[in-house]
Amino acid sequence: MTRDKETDRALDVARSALGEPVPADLAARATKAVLAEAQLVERVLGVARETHAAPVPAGVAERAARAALTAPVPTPGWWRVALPIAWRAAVGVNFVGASVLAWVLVRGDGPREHAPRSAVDNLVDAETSAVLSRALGLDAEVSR
Amino acid sequence: MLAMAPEPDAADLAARMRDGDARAFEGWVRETHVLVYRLCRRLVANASDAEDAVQETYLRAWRSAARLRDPAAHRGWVCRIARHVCADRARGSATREPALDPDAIAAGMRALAADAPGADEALANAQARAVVVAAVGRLKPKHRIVLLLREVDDLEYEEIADALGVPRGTVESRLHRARAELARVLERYRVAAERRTP
Repeated sequence: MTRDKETDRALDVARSALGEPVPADLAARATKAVLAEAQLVERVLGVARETHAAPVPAGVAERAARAALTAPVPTPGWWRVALPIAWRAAVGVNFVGASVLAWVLVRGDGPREHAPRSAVDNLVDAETSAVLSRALGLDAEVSR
Repeated sequence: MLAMAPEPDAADLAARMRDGDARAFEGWVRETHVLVYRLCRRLVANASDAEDAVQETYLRAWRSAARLRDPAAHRGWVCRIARHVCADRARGSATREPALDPDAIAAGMRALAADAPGADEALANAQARAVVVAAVGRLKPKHRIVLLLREVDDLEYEEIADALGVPRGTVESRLHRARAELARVLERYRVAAERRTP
């Protein structure tokens, strides 16, 4: 919105608030201001068409095509070969790492399976309990 | 009566260029060079740099033609290459239009406002042109390029969208904002000119 339009609107509001009649030519002046602004922009764009004109030079397409087709093809550097290999290796390592991590997580979530106790385990447990009981004097307490 | 073979369109040429057809490449360059040149001209400092940028663009396009996935989208593809080329060239060489002094602004605005130029028409034109260059130079770059491609270079909305890699709706809204911004700049100039007028 231009300054004129803002001013007109502010005047309109102020006059309405004070109870004064709105000037009859308010709309006409606002319209004139808007049209003048639009005309000025169009005039400026008309001048810009001259000041900023950028005609395409003759023969630019032929020169560009010839330059592209006759330019020597650059020999690929060592990195051109090494980079894809390194990239694929990094992807492989990442994949293996992620797979191991996923396997560990899945294994960790499931119920742990205990191996069946052997007779030797039971015997060791019984012996250990007896030794501990004797050491702590629990067997005497029980027998008393 | 000889049946004339239909001219291949740019997408056909792009598809054949992708397969390594040098003649198709030449035809494709002829079809697209106006858009590419205009885009480059708006992104680099002068006409000479723009032509260099066009050559570099087509060199890169030819070398990477095999990577063109969709021949129908060849215009956006080559404009993307052109934008990269111009960004490489323009890096570190950004220039701003020099600011005009208030007297020059006042004289230019008077020349623009005059319906019929006076006796010294050449001077009035020069003053008006200076103000226009300054006003356009004050626009945001993303607004300025849309305004110039549309209003000066007369490109279609779709072409501008391809050139800049944005949707058509964005082009329309940027153009609208560019005109509004230009009007605001001119309004500031008008106020400054009124203050200078005795």
